[in-house]
Amino acid sequence: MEESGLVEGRAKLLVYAAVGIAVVGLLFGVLLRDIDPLAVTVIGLQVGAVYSLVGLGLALVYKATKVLNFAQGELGTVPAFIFFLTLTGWDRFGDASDPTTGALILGTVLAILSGAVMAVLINVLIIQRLADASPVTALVATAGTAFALVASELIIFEASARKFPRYVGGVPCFESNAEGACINAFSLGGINVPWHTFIVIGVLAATAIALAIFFRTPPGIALLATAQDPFAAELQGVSVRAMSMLAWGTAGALGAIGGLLGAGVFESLEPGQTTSTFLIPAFTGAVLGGLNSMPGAVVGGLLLGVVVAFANQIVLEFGWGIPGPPQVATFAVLLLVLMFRPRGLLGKEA
Amino acid sequence: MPVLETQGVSIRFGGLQALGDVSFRVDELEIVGLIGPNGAGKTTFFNCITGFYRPDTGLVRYRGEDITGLRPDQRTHLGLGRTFQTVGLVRSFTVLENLIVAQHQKINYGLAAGILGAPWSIAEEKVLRERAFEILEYMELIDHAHSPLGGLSYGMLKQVETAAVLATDPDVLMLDEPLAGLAPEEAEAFGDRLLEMRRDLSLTIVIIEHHVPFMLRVCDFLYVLNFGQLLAEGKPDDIRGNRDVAEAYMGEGASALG
Amino acid sequence: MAVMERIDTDRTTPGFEPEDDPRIPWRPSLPGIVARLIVLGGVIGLLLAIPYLMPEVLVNIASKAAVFAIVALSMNLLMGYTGQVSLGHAAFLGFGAFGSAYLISQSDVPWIGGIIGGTLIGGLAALPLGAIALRVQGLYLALVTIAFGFLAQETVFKVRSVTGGGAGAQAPRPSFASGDIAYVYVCLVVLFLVWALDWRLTASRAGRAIQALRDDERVAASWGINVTGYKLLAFTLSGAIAGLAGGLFAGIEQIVSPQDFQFGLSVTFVLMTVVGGLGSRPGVVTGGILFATLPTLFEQAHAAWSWWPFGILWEPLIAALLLIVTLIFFPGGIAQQNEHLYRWLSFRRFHEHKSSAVAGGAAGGGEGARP
Repeated sequence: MEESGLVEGRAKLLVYAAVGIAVVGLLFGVLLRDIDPLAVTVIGLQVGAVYSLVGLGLALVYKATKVLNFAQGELGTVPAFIFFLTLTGWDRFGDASDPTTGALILGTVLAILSGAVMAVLINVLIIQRLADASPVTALVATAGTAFALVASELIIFEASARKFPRYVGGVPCFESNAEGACINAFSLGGINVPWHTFIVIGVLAATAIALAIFFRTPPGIALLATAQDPFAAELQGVSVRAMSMLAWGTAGALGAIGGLLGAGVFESLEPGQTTSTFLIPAFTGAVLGGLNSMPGAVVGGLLLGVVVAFANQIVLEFGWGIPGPPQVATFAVLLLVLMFRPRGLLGKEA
Repeated sequence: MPVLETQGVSIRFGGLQALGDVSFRVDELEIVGLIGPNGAGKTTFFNCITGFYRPDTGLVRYRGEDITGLRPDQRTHLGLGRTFQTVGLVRSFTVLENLIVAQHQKINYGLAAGILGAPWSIAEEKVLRERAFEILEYMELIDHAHSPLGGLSYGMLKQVETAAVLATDPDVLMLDEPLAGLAPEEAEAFGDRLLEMRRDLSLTIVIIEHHVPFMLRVCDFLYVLNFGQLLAEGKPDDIRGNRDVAEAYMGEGASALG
Repeated sequence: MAVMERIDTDRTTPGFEPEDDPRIPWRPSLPGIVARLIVLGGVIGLLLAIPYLMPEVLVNIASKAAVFAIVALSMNLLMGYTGQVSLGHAAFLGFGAFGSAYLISQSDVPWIGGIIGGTLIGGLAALPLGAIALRVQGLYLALVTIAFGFLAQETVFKVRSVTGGGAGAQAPRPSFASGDIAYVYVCLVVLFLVWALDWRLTASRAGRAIQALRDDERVAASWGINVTGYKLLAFTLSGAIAGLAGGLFAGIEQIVSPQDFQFGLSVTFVLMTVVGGLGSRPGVVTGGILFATLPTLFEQAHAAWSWWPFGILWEPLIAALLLIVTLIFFPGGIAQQNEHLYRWLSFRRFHEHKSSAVAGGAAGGGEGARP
C-alpha cells in the first residue's frame, strides 16, 4: 500500500507544528537558562563519536548482509575485556590502571583481532545458515548471541565494574602557573576538554577515512558490489560468502574500537556494557543517518550524541524529574525518523 | 449504469507516470479484458481500482458510487473481488481453512461472541464450513480440502485462489493474469470455466492477460494499455485489426494481432 | 452478491465412503477417546499436584512458571499468529505489574480490580506500538520494540510517584491466596482461562483474521479483513495478556522494581516462545514453563550433584545457545518435535498430514514457524 510516512496531510502539519514549538521552546530555555551550547555539544560529540563507531559496524553489516546485528555491542565489550586482560597480565580481577605503552598497543591489537574473529565466527556459524530465513530471524539470532556473550562475560568476570584506562588520561595542558598546576587559558566554553574526547573524535575521523579508502580498493569495491547485487557478483566470480565474512570481520573490528573507546568514556568496564549503554543509540544514529549509508552512520551518531547531551542538560536545568532522558530522546528521534523520513538523512530510497 | 468505471485515473511514482488519464467501464455480466505489453500499468490499474493504490487524480465508481477513498477491505464488502499475480492465499492454512477465512465479511457474530463461544457463533461456523465445501465441490477441489498449500501444484493453487475469491461472494471478479503458469490445455479449460462461472454465478469479470488469442475469444470488450495510457478500446474484432495495438505488441510494421 | 445461492449443489457430487468424506470431521474411536482422556488427566493431575511435591522454599517457581506460560501465550499471539516481532515484551509485563501494584497498594483497590487494571494498562500500552506497527515493518519495527523496552525500563518504570523509582513498588497478594501454594493455583487458574481464550480466539473469526495478516496482508485486505483494526487488536490483546501476567508476576515476590524488566527478560520471552514452537499453544506453554524453571533447575542440580558443572550463571548462556540451535536446526521448536503427540492429545489423528494453525503451522518444514 502506498504511503509516504506514518502521518499525512493535516496530521503531518500538526506534528510539524508541535515539533517546531518544542524546538523553539527548548532553544528559548537554552538561552534563558544559561546552558552553554558549546560545552554541551562537546560532551555530546564524545559520546556521539562512540555511537558512530558502533553505528558504522551496524551500517556495514546491514548494507552487506541485510541483517540488523544486535550482537554489535558485545563485539565491543568482549574485545574490551580482552584488552583489559592484556593489561592485567591475564588476571581477571587485576588492576588495569596505569598501563605501559607496550601493553596498550598489544592490548589494542588483540582486541581488534578478537572482535574481527568473533564477528566472522558469528557470520559463518549462525548468519550464513539463516540465509534463507527472514531478516527478523537473523536479528533474533544475533540478539540471542548477544545474550550468550553477556552471560559468558558474567560467568568469567562476574558482575562487578572495573576501572578501565583511557588511552591518554587527563586534560591537555596549554598553560601552567608557577606551581606547575594547569591553568588553561584555552578551554572550550569554560570546560576543560579531556584528551580522550579528542582521541575518540580523532579515531572516528581516521576510521571513516580508512573505510572510505578501503571501499575504493578492489576488495572494498567487490564488497559493495556484492551488497548491491549478490547474484551479479557471483557471476563475476566474487564469492558472496567471502564478502559476507569480510563485511562482518570489518564490522567486528569497528565494534572492538567502539567498545574500547566507549569503556574509556566512562573509565569503567562491566559485562554487557556496550549493549546497554551504546547499542540502541548507535542503532538510532544509524537509522537517523540512513541504515545503508556509512557516512550516514557517522553523521547520525554524532547528531544523536549532541541531541542526547542537550536532552540531559535541559532536563537537569529545568529539574523536570524525567528519568532516563537519553532513552526518551533516543526513542523520540527513532520514531520521528521512521515517521517522516524512514530512509534517514543520507540514505537512498531502498 | 456500469457496474464498475473509472474516470481519468492517473498515478505517478517518483518520476514515472505509471498511469495517465485512464477511463474505462464495465457493464453488468460483461467480461472485459485489459491487455498491453509488460510494464504497461495493468496491475497498477487493478491496484487503483481495488484500493491498494490511491490515484493522484481521477475517480473510481462502483454502481455509481464513488469509491476512490475506500480501503481494499471496504471495496470487497461492496462486491469487488480480485486475484493476485503472486497467487493470493494464506500459505500456512489448508485449502479449507483458506476458504473459511475468505468468508470473513459474511460472518455476523462479533468478537466477544466468538471468544465466549456463543451458540449462534458455533452455528454460524458450521454454515461457513458447509459453504466452503460447496464452493470446493463446484471448483472440483473437494479432494484437497484438508491439504496444506505446500503440496499443491501451481495450477491447483490458482484454482484454490479463485475458490477463495468466490467465497468472498463478489459481484465483480477481477483476475490478474489467471493463465500465468498454465499449460495450453489448462488455459483452454479455464476459458470455458470462466464463461460457465459468469453464467452460473452472475458474475461480471475483468481480466488482465498477455495471452491475446485467449482474450480475443473470451472477452466481450477490450481495453489496451501502453505506457500507462489507454491505447485503444473496443470489441475483440476491432482490436484484432488495430494497427497501433499490433505495433505495440509486436513492433513496427505489424498490422494485426492473432 | 449471490454467489452462494447460485452455486448448484445438485451438480455431480462425488460419492464418498463415510470414512473418506472430507466434509465429515474426523472423530477418534471410543478407546481412542478414553486413552486421550487418561493421558490428559494424568498430565493435568501432575500439574495440579506439583506445588505439593516441591520443596516448600521453591514453590514460588511454580507460580513463575505459570506466569511465564501466560506470557508465552501473549507472545505467541503477536509473533506466532500475527507474525509481528516483539523484542520489548517485558515492558508490557512491567506495565501490568506496576499498574496493578499501584492500584492495589496506593489506591486501595481490591486485588482482583488491580489485576484487571493491570491487564487494561498492558493493553493500552501496546496500542501505541500497534499504531507504529501499521507503518513500520520488519527490522525497523523490531528495532522500535527494542527501544520501547528500554524506554519503559529506564524512564516509565522509574517515575517515582507511580512506581517507587528504583526502590520498587509493593504488590500484595489477594487475601484468599496469600500463601505460596495457594498463589500457584491462582496463577494456574488464570493460565487455564487464558489458554481457553486463545483456543476460542483461533476457532473464531477474529483469530483467523489475525493469522491471515501474518502471511500476506494484501490478501487479507482483499478478503474483506480490516488490516488496521485487526493488527491493533492483536497488539492490544497481546499487551493485555502480558499485563495480566504482570499483575500475577508482581504478586510472586510481592515487590516489583524496574530492574525486573530488563532487555534480557524480553530476550528470554522470545527464546521461550521460539524454542517452544511459534504458533503452537502447547509448544509455547512448554517453552514458558521450561525457561521459567531452568535457572532454578541449574542451581539445584549444581548444588545437589557434584558432576554437574553448570551453576545458575550458566543458564542464560545455555538458553541462548538453545535459541540459536533452534533457529537454525529446529525452526518449529519443541512443538515441531512433538507435533504428533500434541495433535493426538487434541483429539485429532496422530499421523494426519495436516497443517493446522492451531496445532502449529510448522508442518510445511518450518518455513512459517520462524519469527
